[in-house]
Amino acid sequence: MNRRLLVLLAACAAVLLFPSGVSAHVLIKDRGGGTGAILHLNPDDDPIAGERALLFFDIRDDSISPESSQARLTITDDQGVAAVVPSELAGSSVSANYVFPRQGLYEVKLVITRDGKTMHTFLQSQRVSRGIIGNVITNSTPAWAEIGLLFTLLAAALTAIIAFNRRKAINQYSKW
Amino acid sequence: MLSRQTIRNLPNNNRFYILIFSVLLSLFVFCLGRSQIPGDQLFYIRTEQLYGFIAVTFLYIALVISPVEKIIGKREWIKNLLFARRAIGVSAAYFAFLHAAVALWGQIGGFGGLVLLPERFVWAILFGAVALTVLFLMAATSFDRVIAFMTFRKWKWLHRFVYLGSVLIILHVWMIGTHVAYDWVQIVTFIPLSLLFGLEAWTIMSKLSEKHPEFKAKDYFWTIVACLWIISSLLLLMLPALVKNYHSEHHSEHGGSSHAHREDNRE
Repeated sequence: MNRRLLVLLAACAAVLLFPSGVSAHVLIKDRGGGTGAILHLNPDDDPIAGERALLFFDIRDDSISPESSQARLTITDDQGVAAVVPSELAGSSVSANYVFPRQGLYEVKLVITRDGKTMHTFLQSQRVSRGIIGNVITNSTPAWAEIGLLFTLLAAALTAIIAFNRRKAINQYSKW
Repeated sequence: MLSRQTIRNLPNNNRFYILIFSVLLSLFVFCLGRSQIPGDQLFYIRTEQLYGFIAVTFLYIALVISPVEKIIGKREWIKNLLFARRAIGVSAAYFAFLHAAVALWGQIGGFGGLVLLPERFVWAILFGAVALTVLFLMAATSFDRVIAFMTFRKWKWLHRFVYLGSVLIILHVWMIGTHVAYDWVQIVTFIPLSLLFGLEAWTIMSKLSEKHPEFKAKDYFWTIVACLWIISSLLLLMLPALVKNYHSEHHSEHGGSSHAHREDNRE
């Protein structure tokens, strides 16, 4: 095979096989309700316990600046153990890396202060459902979701049977 | 809206089955998400993303049917697909509405949350809202009686807005879509979109040459088709340079610097 083509295919495969993680957005309101922040969580909005996760807050307040404001990020697990996470304030955004120790429900709290006075407090509950499993089992599937799945599959099968049996009539009637 | 004859023939109508399939699919996605994803926030994100993806897929199929029919001719299965096209369009509007509803009430927390969003988000949501309105108008006017009331010419004119809607959807997805930040998603998305642009260029020129026979000459015809196709594909390729993607922008700004932090800082 042409060598150039091989190199091109290898480059395409590399791009396809090693994607970088992306995150979606969650809007959090501060306790006063007047300011919003977009929280990005990497990887894929769904942190993996035992692996590094990136937390990024894009706060909609231009008055925040690294020179005059401080950010304090605290993550508390479902046992009430709190960890203060070093964070970096750049413009009006805060970023931090954290390794969630195990699966469970965490409370993420970001406090922005200026001259010792609290400007904004953002609170977000974050569930970690991948990676190291802890002692507490928090996952539970609601019964209605299981029933709904069963119902939709049965209904789809029934509709498919009806459609299959009427295929000639459908083919004849449904023509443009 | 529906005549007795239409109601009697529902079991023979492929549109009926497509609409039933769409409703069941939306329920399946919702129930599957709820049973697999324990966290509410992640459940809303994934459901919203899936509904959006399905809406775009339906819209793509609705758009591609007509050019394919023009190229390969009116075969039996194409006639069935052409008949089903209205239901496919209605399904696109239905999933687009579900996508918007989950995003608005699940992720943003209602209309009040819109004012708290960054400017780029608001613009992207505005584009999405206009596209949703276009899809809704098309779905609402997809009944025979409405077409008869509007006259076919005006109905056709209204339905041309789908192209405006599609451009706005591309912008909406690009500006705030999360998975479009992946290189492989960009490549995989570019191929079918470029193909659609090529088919649409061919359709436009076919219609134009019917009105103006001077364009029927092969040289003219294919040169203009190729130009339209290349220009539209190039515009799509240049989109990252013309309009910034929110996620790529923020991750490139902060991804590197924040990695310097210590990893475990438990008190």
